[in-house]
Amino acid sequence: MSKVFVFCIGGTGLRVMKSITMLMAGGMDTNGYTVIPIILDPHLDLEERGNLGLLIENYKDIRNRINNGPNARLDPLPGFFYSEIGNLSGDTGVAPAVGAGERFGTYISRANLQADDLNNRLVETMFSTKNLNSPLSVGFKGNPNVGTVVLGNIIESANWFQNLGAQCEQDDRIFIISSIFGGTGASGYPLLEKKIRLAENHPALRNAIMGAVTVLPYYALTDPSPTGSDIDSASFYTKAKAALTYYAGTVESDYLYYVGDQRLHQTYDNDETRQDDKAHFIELVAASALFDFLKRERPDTQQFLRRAIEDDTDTLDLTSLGSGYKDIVKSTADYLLLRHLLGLLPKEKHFPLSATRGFNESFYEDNAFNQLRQFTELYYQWYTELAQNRRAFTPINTEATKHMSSWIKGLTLEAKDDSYYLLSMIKASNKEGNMHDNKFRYFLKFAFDAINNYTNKINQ
Amino acid sequence: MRGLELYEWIAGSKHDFIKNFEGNDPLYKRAGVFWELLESYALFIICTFVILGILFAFLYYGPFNNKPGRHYRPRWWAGFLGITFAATLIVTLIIGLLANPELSGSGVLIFKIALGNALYAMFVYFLTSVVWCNLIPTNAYPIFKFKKKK
Repeated sequence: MSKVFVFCIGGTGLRVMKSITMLMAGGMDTNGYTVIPIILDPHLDLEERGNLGLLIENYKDIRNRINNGPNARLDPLPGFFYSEIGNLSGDTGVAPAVGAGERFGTYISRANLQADDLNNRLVETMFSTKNLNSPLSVGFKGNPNVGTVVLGNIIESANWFQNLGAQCEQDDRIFIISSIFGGTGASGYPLLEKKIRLAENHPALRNAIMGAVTVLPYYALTDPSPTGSDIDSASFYTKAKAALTYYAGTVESDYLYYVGDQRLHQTYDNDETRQDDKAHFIELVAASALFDFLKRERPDTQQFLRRAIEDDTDTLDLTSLGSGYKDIVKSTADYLLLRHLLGLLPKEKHFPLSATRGFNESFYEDNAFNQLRQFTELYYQWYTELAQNRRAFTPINTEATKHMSSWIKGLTLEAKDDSYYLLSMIKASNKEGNMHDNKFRYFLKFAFDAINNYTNKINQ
Repeated sequence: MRGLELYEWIAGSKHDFIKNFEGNDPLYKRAGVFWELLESYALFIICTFVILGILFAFLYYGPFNNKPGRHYRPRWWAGFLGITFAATLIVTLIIGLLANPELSGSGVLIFKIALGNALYAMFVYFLTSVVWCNLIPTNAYPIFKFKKKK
């Protein structure tokens, strides 16, 4: 199976990867590619970095449980958790951080330079005192000049690149996610691309089809003065323009996706140590770029792509998003319906599959089911953040549990309430023989078949 | 007939019925004729409980459970059991009334036979359910499915 190495650079890279994972959980297809996330972010203290790692591990565990057969692995099951997430061999997919805990000045060994050394003057010209005193454990705080040096070192010196080269085979692909208005992503993308294109010892890697998504400014931060933050969102556009100018003649990805918004709809708290920004629609759009990239062939010339929405509104549903977003809306609708069923079925007495398929109390108390439930709560939290952010991504009527024909806004489903899905699950079970004894796989298969039976209307 | 003793248990025997008219020859004869007429309807009466018992089991496990609304719940099965009882009672009453006896006590007799028939229909409904739960795929909860020994 071919692989796509997905580099997630900086905080935006992490959040876009989270959206990719959620969309895959909802059944979005990677066209047969195994996604191998590689996180490049020196911000070790960031909670969401750890959370993403756990989320990905959870995804892989659930998928493993689905595909475990009595004697051998079963074929991937179309539907939820269909596409595979893998590891970069030798580690968990998270690139080791270089310079963690150090200040930038120490990192570049500035102390070894004499005060009147010409190189010291150069350093002072290129980096402010704030830059030099900045701890690297909280990232590059919107300073691409710092990021270029440190990330360059990460990319040059770490063993993971050797692992990458060894693991990358013909037909594998590279995809790089970064923002252009901060420090880490803006500097990391061109560096990484250059490193890959110059990997002479690894021809498959060097010649791999490469895609990248560059996220333009999509949120603002509160005034940095009260918190003393070094990040000022007033400079986001200036930085983005400068970086774009640099990119124009430098980056050579086969496909380059630009994702952004016409104005900054949301303002977050300016706390550089936490950066617990809520999931945002723009990250979801950036995530969709990966799925689009995996469907495309190698182009003759470099391709620049962007996405639009149908209506310029603050609240987005299927109609205002436009038909290009059907797959995303379906994936979200499907998974949220699964969540509804997960809450419903353990309490559903006399559900026939409890007798015929063993979906009984012990099944619902099993580790596999609990793991799925935990993942699902994270999914719901992610969707709630998307729905409460601005622009708000709210194509689903999650409250419409009694009148479910309006589950997807702007579309009338034939399933008027949840009993339609339950019946459809039973029918799916009756059609299926006993091919294996993996109850968890049966459960997700019947649930997906039932849900897809109705939500497939979105594609008509 | 073997297996149909319930009728006699509920409605009594021919002798029990016609002895009510002893001392009144015309009525005694009419009672006998009426009883024989009822006996000639026996096939219809038996067919009624067999057909309705199977029919309502089929409707429950087939079309009714092919529609949404959590129809698989056992209370719906019980509901169909009740419908089977009521429908058989009514159809049997109609058949009995076709005999048009105009005898005092014949209405009670017909009702008792209808009652017995309805009980038989419930039994057929139950028996069909057992067979259906074990042999035929259904969307209903298989209340009567035998557990396989491991």
